Amino acid sequence: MDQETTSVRPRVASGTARAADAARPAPAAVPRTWEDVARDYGPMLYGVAYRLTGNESDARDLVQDTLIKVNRSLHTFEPGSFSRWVYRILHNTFLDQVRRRQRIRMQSLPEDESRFDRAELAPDPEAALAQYRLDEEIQQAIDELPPDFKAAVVMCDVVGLGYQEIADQTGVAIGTVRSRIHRGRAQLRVRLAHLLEEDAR
Amino acid sequence: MSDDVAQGGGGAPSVSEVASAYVDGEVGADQAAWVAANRGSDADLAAELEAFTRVKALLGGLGTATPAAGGWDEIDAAVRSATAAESRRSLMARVSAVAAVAILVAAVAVGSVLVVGNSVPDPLPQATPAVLAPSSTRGGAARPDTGVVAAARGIGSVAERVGVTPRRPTTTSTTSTRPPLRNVAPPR
Repeated sequence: MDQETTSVRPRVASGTARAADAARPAPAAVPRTWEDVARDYGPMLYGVAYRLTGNESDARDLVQDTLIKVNRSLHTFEPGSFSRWVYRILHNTFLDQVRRRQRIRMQSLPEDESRFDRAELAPDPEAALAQYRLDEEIQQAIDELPPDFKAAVVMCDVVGLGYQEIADQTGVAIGTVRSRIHRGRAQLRVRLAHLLEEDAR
Repeated sequence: MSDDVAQGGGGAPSVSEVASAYVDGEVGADQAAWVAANRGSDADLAAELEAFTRVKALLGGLGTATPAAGGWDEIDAAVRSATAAESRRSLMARVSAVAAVAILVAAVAVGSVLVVGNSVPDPLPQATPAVLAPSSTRGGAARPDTGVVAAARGIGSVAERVGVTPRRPTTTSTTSTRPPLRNVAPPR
């Protein structure tokens, strides 16, 4: 395989972008190499990987493993939605990792440099810090969900996929998807009750 | 209010589940109509809709996580290293396969040479080929005998020509060939 010397650093979304925005890249052409995939889909992959794993180190591992699998099976891609194909690989890799480790290890909050970087770079540090704390609390609640619920909720609410797409990607019935999303949200609702109450006021 | 949506029957999703799916726009026409008709009057349904709408909004408002400085370079290096290793393994596997085929071809070629070499000046023309080749390839009607049987036949025919009777397999017996001892009195 040709070894490109160029970096695969992706086209990074701005610091204020929402996760759901980063999860919807729209390059029309199908990438030919894993480097192309990393450049075009890197933010989506990392953003979703972070939400699924809950920490930088595991998110990086998940993106790496996903790109390795993409490289291995890029020639098998059949015409269709490339982003969904890539996401399916990410999702399956995540579940493989969960099964392998049983439990994704947790990383303490202060070691998460990326999120501090983002807060420092934001135009309003106080608002950025508040957003950071909010994100972190939500992320911790997501981390507590069982893997199947977590994947369904992240795919639906973070990536923005429809139930049928999630069912196709996870290989379960659409009713199961609906149930998993509902049960995942119900747990989050209890866990984040204080935030929801603040929001209501 | 019953916790099951009226139109669904026994296995129907709960009101809470319908509300969760409703905020995603993932309910059928019947359930959408049911929600629309009841959300103003049913406090439980209204509460479920409001709660799930907020949960969805919270999750949708999560910031974009980006790797720390140098994170992409680490990912790049790791994937590059892994793909290079896979390429090497793949190349080695192909080289091994080619080598295996080459060895096989060489072995077949050597075997052919031996067969040809044995068949031309063979002093025992019927014996040796019988072992090396199936009987059906030696001309004449195909016979179901094996190479071993044919070899035995070949040995027999060679023995006839040489003038030696092939030794039959000796049978082991527990009976002695000595004449039986008579019941004689011991010598004095």
